[in-house]
Amino acid sequence: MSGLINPQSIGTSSSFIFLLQLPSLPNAGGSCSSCNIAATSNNLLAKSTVPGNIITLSMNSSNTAISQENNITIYTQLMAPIPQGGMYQITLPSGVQPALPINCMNIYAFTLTSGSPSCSYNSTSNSIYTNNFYFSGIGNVVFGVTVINPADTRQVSYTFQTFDSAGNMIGNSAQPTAFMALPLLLNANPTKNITQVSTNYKLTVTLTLGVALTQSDFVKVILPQESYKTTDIVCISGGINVPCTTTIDAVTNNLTVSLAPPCSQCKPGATLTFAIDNLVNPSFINGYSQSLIIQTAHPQGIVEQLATNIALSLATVTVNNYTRNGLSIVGSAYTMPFTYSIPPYIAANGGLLSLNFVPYDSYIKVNYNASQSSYTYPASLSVTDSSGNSYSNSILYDTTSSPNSVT
Amino acid sequence: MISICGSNPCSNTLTISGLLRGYNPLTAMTQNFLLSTQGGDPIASYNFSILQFNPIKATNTLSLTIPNSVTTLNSNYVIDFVSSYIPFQSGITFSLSSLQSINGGCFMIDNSTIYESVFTCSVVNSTTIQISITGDSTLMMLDNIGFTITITNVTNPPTIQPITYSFNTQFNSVVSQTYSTTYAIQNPFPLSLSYSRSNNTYAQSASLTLTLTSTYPNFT
Repeated sequence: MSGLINPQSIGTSSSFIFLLQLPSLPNAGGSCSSCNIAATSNNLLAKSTVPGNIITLSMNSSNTAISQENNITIYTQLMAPIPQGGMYQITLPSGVQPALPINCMNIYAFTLTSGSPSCSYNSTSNSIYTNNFYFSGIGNVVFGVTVINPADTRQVSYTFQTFDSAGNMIGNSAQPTAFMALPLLLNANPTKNITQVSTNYKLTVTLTLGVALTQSDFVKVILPQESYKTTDIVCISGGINVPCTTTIDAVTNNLTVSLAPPCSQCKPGATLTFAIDNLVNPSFINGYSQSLIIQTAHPQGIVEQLATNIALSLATVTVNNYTRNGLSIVGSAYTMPFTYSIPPYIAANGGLLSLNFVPYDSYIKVNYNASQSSYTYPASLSVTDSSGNSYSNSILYDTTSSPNSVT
Repeated sequence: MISICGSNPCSNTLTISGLLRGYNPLTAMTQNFLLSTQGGDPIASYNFSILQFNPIKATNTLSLTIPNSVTTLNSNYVIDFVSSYIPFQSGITFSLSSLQSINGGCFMIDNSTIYESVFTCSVVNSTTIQISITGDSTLMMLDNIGFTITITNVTNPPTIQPITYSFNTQFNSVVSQTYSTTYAIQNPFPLSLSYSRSNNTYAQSASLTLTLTSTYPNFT
């Protein structure tokens, strides 16, 4: 037998039986109705064990900051209808509380049975459910409530259910909807005593708490480094060394230094100062290498965070024996020997040496194409070392005058 | 930008060849060394003055030909000069002495087979011409170019005393080459002499009359 539809909620259906009936009386006895011959002796039951799926299309937040009121609007697709008297339920994740009084909003596609949309909160299941509206079809619905975000950036998951009037489950979200609040902006001022690349430095941080911390919480500093001396790192607070841990992220390669809050009572508004010594500045300068992040955190997630930059300064190249050989007359050919210092990072990883000239300083003879009466500027020069090795190079030209000088 | 170390050689002593000094002296010259990662992130730098390597302007000989080299007479002046692989810009201003006077016009040509430009010569006043140059001077760096300036119908100076002629070429609005020569008009203007005596008798007194005749207009 096909075409049967399971009970529209989790549970057991009403009983049903099988009957054997004759379409007509035998021996031309004429038609009959309900000519039962036999019937099942026990009531048969049908069971629905798997709820209809509730698919989350999207969940929008009005405020994603931790501990803040957040109007969430949930767009879901119901694969099983809610009969009149049934309800739609949002099960809040642990750490998320409803904003009281409960308020339903942004309701779309539901059928309202009376009055204004009304919702209630079940503290036992930490869920918000509808009181007087339902959706009798299969399709998309929209439903919004106000919640209080988690107190840190731990990842939480919302789930959604539907029930009939008897409390039997009809639908359930097979895939929970993840949510992660964003940390609050931390009021912090980090400074380095030395900013030159590849040098040891001491980082001093002064911060003002916006959210209370306990001794089980953390203050973290995340630093970008491609070389570490983690064994030498020392954390200092109040003039004494304090315990701290260092970890290196296997993916980002960032260094995280973590220490307990250097205060016995870390109330909001408390100002904390600590230092981390024997850190090593990155070996080069870019946006990443100048960045750092300071966080206060619970064990489960970040509470407040400041992502900022401290500008690095360049090291100095030592140049010796620089000269220009050849005649001194304008336009004369010359060679330029020199000796320079190679930073360890470049010695290990390779790099680029750029020699920048002021405009009109030097030129390179152009290549002339006689057949086309045209010329081109050379793309490279002869660069050699004392062993006769040649170095690949490229040339940039100052195009503001003609001929173009080397820049 | 030179690739060093890594997959490249890694010497700290290098020599760069094939550069040409600038085409005009500069008021300031610095050389900047910048070391960076292969991705271009800077690591170290050094900036220093290299004014001791400032190029000096070239001093060249000017060739002046005056076919009719007789004082006060008119002649076409032919001025030849060579720019040897040195571009110049901004035109040329050439002045004669105040003892001379330009009565005609002027023009300039060159003998290069690759350098192409248009020269416009104009007479500014009775002693000065100005030559403007239109075109890309880049190819001047590839050729030893001879230039000829011709000034027509110039009144020679009334003296055979040497006169120095010179002019400059410029690059980047700065004098880059100086051309000069000293030239003396070879022949004074001819003066005719005739004489007569009042008495041709032996041992007698006589008056000798000398007559100088000049066509020089301002001779007094």
